[in-house]
Amino acid sequence: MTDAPPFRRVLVANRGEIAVRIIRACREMGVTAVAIYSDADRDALHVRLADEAVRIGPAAASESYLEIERVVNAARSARVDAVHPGYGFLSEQAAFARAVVDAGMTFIGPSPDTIEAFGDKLRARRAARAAGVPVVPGTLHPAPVGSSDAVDRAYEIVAAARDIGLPVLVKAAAGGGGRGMRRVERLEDLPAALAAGSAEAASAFGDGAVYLERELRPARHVEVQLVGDSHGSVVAIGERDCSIQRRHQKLVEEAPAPGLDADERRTLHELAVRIGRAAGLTSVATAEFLFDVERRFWFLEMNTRLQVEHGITELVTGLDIVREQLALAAGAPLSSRARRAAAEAGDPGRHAIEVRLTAEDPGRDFAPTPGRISVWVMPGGPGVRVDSGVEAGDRIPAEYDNLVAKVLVVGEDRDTAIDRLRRALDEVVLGGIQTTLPLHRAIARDPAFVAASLSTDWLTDHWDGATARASSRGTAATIAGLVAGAVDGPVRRVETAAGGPSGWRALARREAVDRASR
Amino acid sequence: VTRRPLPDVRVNSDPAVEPDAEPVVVSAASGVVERRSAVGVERAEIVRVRLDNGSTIDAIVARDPLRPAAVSVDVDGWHFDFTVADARREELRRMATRGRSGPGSSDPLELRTPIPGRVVSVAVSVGDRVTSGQPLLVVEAMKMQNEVRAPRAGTVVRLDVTAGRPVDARDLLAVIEPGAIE
Repeated sequence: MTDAPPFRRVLVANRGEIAVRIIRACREMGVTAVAIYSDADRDALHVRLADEAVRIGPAAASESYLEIERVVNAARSARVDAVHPGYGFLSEQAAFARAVVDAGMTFIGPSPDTIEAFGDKLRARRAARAAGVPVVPGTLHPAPVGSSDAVDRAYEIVAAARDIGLPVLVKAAAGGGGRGMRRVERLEDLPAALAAGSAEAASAFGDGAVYLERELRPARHVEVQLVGDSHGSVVAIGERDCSIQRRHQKLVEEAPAPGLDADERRTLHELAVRIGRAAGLTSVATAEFLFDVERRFWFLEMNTRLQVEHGITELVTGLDIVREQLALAAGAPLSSRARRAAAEAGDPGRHAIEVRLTAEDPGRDFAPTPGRISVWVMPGGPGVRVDSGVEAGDRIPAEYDNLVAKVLVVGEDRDTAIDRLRRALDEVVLGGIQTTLPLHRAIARDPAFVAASLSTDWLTDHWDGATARASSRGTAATIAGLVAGAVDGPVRRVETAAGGPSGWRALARREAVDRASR
Repeated sequence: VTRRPLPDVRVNSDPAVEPDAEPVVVSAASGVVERRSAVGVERAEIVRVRLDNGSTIDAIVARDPLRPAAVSVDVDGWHFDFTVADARREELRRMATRGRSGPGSSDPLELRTPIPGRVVSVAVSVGDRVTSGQPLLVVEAMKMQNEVRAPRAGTVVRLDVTAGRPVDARDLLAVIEPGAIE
């Protein structure tokens, strides 16, 4: 331990892989980590790894991880000095940050005011524009929906849509994950789309405000990792490309964004820093941009929290972002590592890729696949990192996010990283539930991906999951039949010595033995 | 170890997941299980199989002790939940229930056994009137007792077997003349 711990005790107000990630940082810094858990997570990995754990309620997130009062009460009863919200759940709720501060504890994240200003995408768009940053063309104020003058003002929004150009997107000011979003191709469909989007946003976020944004397609999704301190410094430590998405959910992320030249990279970082300054950022945040075919950047939104994909920036820069977050929350200035990362961000000299293994069936339109993991062998070796909140025997509950594990690789350049990704994904032995593993194996071998021909339309253009799944079904059925038949006959168990043709199988066996004897 | 020939196995996909998937009949010729090693939980094993085309495949196979017919397989990153049945036993069951879908037919129904075995018991006599689904006799095969039921309501007009008698595949067991029972 190089420095005194920034806090004595920290409540990790989350679950799954991100709770594990934060607990690991706490332990490395000599900070006591206190986990929270719902009834569905009593035996979860994050609870097992934490120094202490507090039950906060039943399985339903709305009665546990999303309940501000319960989480703050848990923090009080555990007598922590600070609360880390992770991502999702309450991480971008200004009311939660305020409740933590009001209870006399430190919120590890931006100030409640920053969270509030950037949680509303319309306010964020106005702030970015005021800071001289180009925003995706669209409206800057809520569309008239449901208000008393909505009918009188309908012509305004139709005229705005005509100016923006079709197709246009209806988006929720409080939005996220594509909820409240509607795509409009014909002006006559606009009123219905506004009403439907607003209703969906109202039920999902308790705020029905919607606005219009031009649909930039094809485009790349590029985002900048910002780090700020409470002494007035804001720096950009690099960008990530998150273009491979499915319905606005990221599947693959990489850092740096391939194909940007030094000037473009500098411009992008500079735009992001301007937004971070305007926001008075005193922690970490991510500014998201679209990069269009004419190579222009358009501000999309800012996330005032640790991002799922923060790990690839850590691999590229060598900066431990969670550790930095804790130090910044305790009032420290930007670390020298963070400043060096910012200085090197134009030419980082390394390349990292992350894929998200989620409990979804990429062969059946991404149907959710909760269940119990029977076999769990994750890759290792040079340049590979796995962040996960589960182990063999764990159940993926249907109540929460479907992220099972993030597989990250780093190499000296993009080609090396892709070679490593292919190798790492081939090492994965995962049984019991369907995940997006076969999709990611296909992406790692896809010529368009290898050529860095990235777009938010990649999945639509390159993936036929039903065919991929069907092509393995016959083999799987044959194996089921042979194994089932063999049970009626004498069971032959052949144990081979380690070092045979397939090393991972020996590894799997060893791990199973380790687990059993633990 | 002398290996008994494997029975043919019919592998059905989970209809809730894959409604259009055809059952696959697997015989001893389909391949061979070369190696099995227990790993993980829920009796999951890593299995190496050599298929009839010469290729070798690794998969994770798990069986639920409470549902012996359920077999789940993970291969190439894909997860499948199957149910397996002895192909001949399933054929027997299908034959025994055949005809239900054609209630208008009045042709005599011949009940045959698709698998060699032994008649364990006979519950009816010639001339008996039976209802659809009524147990007629039990044939033991593959160490399992298989109940043969009347596929439709009618009268037993012929009965060729008695308890204890061995039967061969395709042997006639009984003939039922369809007809409603008053």
